[in-house]
Amino acid sequence: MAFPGIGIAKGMAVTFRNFFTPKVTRQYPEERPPIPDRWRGRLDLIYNPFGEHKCEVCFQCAQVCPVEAIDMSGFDSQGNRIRYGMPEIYDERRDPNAYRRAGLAARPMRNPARWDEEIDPPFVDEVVDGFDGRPEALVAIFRAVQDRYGYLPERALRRISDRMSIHWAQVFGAAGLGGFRLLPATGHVVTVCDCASCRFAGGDRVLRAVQELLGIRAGETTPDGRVTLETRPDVGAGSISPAIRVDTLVYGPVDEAKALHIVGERLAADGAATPAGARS
Amino acid sequence: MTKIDPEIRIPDPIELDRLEEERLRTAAGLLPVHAEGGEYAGFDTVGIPDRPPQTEREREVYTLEEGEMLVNMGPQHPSTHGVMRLVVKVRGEIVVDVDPVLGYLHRGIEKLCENATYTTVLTYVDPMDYLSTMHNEHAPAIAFEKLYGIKAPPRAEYIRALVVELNRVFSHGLMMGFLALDIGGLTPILYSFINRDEVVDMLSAISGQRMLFNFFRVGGVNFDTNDEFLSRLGTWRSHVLDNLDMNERMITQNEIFRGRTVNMGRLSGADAISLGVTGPNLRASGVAFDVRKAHPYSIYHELEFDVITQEGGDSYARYIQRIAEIKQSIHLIDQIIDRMPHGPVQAQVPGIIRPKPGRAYGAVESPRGLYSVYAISDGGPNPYRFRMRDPSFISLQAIPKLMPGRLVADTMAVMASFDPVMGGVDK
Amino acid sequence: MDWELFLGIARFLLATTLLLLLTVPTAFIIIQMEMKIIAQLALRYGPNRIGPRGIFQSTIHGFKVLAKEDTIPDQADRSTFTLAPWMVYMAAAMSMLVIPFAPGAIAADFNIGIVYFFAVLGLSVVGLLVAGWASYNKYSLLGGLRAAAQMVSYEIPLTLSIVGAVVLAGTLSFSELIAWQLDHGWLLVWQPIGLGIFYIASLAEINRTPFDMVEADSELVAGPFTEYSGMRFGFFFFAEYVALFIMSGILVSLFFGGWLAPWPFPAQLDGFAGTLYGIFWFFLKTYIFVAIAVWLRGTLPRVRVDQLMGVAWKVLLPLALVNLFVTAIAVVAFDL
Repeated sequence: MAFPGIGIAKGMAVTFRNFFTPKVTRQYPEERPPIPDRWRGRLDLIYNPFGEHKCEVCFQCAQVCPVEAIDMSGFDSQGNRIRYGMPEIYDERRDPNAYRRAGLAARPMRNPARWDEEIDPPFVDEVVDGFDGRPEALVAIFRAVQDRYGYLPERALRRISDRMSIHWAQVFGAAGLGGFRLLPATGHVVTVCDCASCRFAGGDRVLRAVQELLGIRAGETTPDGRVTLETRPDVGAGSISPAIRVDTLVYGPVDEAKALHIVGERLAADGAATPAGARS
Repeated sequence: MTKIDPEIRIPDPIELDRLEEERLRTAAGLLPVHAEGGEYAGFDTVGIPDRPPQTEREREVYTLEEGEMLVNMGPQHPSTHGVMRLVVKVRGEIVVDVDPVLGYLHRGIEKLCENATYTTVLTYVDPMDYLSTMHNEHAPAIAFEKLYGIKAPPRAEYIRALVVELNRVFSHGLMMGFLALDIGGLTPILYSFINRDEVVDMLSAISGQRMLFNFFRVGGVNFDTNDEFLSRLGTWRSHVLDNLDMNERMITQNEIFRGRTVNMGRLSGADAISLGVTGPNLRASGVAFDVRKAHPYSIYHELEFDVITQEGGDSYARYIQRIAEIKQSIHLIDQIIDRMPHGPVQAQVPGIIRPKPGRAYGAVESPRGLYSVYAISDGGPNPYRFRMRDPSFISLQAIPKLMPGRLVADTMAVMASFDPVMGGVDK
Repeated sequence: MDWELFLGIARFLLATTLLLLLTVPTAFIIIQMEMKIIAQLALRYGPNRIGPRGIFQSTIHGFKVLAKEDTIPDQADRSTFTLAPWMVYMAAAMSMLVIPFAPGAIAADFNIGIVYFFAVLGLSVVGLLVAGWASYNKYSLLGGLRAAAQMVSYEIPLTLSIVGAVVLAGTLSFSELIAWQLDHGWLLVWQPIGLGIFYIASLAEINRTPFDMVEADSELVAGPFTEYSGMRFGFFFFAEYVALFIMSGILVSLFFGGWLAPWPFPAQLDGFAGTLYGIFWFFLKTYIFVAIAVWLRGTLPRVRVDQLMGVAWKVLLPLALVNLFVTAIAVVAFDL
């Protein structure tokens, strides 16, 4: 067979011409490809022309996903909120976030010491059922539990989350508001209000005075474990600033002398029943 | 103080493993792993299974005569069209026998489809023969529509035919490139990919995806055409024949290419029919069988086209056949665009269809041959049995018949001319 | 002390050092050219990120090859496995000694330079065979045997094709052959058939497409180089591209005037400027032929092994013999 032939020459002419033709490569990071409107590679939920999500929360995708990558929550036809997904998977992210929403330092909830805390499950169930499991009553439920235990144990919160079918993160976030304690109190708890109006009215002077009296800083407990001092931004209600709270009683407006008097009185009357109402 | 006896030797753990393995193998009746003795022992026996042959064919392939050697064109290979293993028995450079070992890409699609609703099945079949996705979806759509007893609206059928022909164009274009690549030319494949990129951009404008389109639904197609699709279609149509011509000019008359493909892998028409080879491979051997004409489906009875055949049945004929089919598909696309009616693109079907119990068969002409689906329904939301017949699998069975007597270098060239896609072979 | 001898030895050592140092940048430049030219033929850009327009890509490849792990198969023959890349590389480097870069700039101006060149270049066959055998791999073995068969059978047309030129010029030394071309015009007009045969045979000898069955990566992964990695593979790779440069250089010297400039320019200058002038024209012409070889690689498919041998023995060898006879008869008849 004769090698130098017309076929080879034609091919070489084609490549020679293409050497001088503009190239078709798209230089990627600088030039992006045009994405068509119907592109299905985007990770977002689609809206219908009325502006609502087309997703009907039928959970089919979450159920069929072989790697369980989908987590979702929605309302069923009864109006109950249901969720699909294992909260435990997301614990590493959820718990610190919930702590942050609660105003505490972010750390994982998985404190092994807390997992063995004993709670009384029937009590918690009773409280929840007493309010018919309505989500609006969550704060009242928390208050009842805190009255019983002095703080909100994690296991109780999980039981509430399961029983009411509310996202754990939402429960935990709600527990961070409204003055609920997530950690057991040691001794009496003196809370000095930290909100803007209380500060303007002199709350920092009150705080300093109490700190001097007790000999500890905010966030700490006295060495004998009798008093814990902390600051929260939600103690006062504006018109009674500056306010302090001792255990469950709120006092305000107080000045330094009154605050010291109140705290001293509480320490002296250790173990006595709490009087009702606040003094103005 | 412990006395250490210097006479006792603690055996090497690797040595212990080896002894254990020998013991177990002897107990199981298998041949020993390390056959000692002989100058070339261990060299030639690599690749032969270590159990007695279980079929006649296996005995035929794995018995080595004097001077023969087994060469493994293994699953990791730059040009076996996917993961396939070819055990080639060679004497020097001449091939004596070929044994394809398949199944490296098996994903259990048929079984998966038994646990999926009918609409989900259409997404599972996409990655089977990944270069002809639309055909993969067309056949099940036909079968399911027969089961459910509905017909797709005419506009849907026309859109289906349009995208199917577009898919055929780029699949055949890629075959040209792959054949040239396996023979050694580095540039035609890139020209084929330029063409494919344009078509794929077009199809992504209509279906939202670039490769696994998921465009067909039971009862129609998912989306209607939009402006972007039509404008890209027009642009593409205006220069596709020039691109094709540029690619062809590099390959078709090239003496080296012709020397490697003319008279190679000659498959006669009778042999092709008896092996079950279909599609362009069959038509290149002279048999005029095209599913679109023989068992018309969709709207092909309304379109004008002829069945093209070539004489010869060698690799070159298969290559020329595919080029002719590209031109035929472009002609079909022109007719479809002219005749497309208005109307809805999807029939009203519920989200989860539950056809009545029954069986249905749907066959289409895919770029590799006759691709068909046989579905059995038991009245529930999932098919009871979903069986696919893939043309590449059948075409590969022709290789052991064609190769003996040829050189090793021809193995790849002949295989590339059959254009198998391993996704379809292994399902 | 014989100063001339001393100077001669010093000059030789300097020349060989320079040549060895020249091989590396040459290989890098040719590899870069190849990547970019083949890419541009295929309507794409090739490497264009490393360095302005991608010119440092090849250097980075060189560093990468140095950094790779050096594996030797367990059952391979270690000493010969290690020796094979050296053999191939040394064959290429030794044959560079006689390339006529410029008047006075030849490392070793033998009066039998042409014979020396082809003899030494043939040693690379041994290296490939050894590589194929020592790898303990059937693919490598097949590749090595193919390489041996191909290179041995193409050496005959290669050497026969230039005998016509030698007969015409009456000398076996490169510098004298170029001097003959200075007086009588470039040999390409005197020996067109010889040129054609030489070009095809040289492409086959250095395993370039369309004759690169040896490293046909669609079939036998990488032929005799399958088991090599890291710098050992780098040696083979360099040797191939250096051999391409060498063959193009010899082609230019034999048929296209070597260091002589084409018609409108003065053919040769004197002194040091003449050396630089000659080097410039030599490299320009050589790189044009290297680019043509790269262009061929981008365009043409591979020729099959038996077709390769068929061409060598049935077409090129008879043509070369015919060319030789006709030239010899013409020399005697017209008293050239």
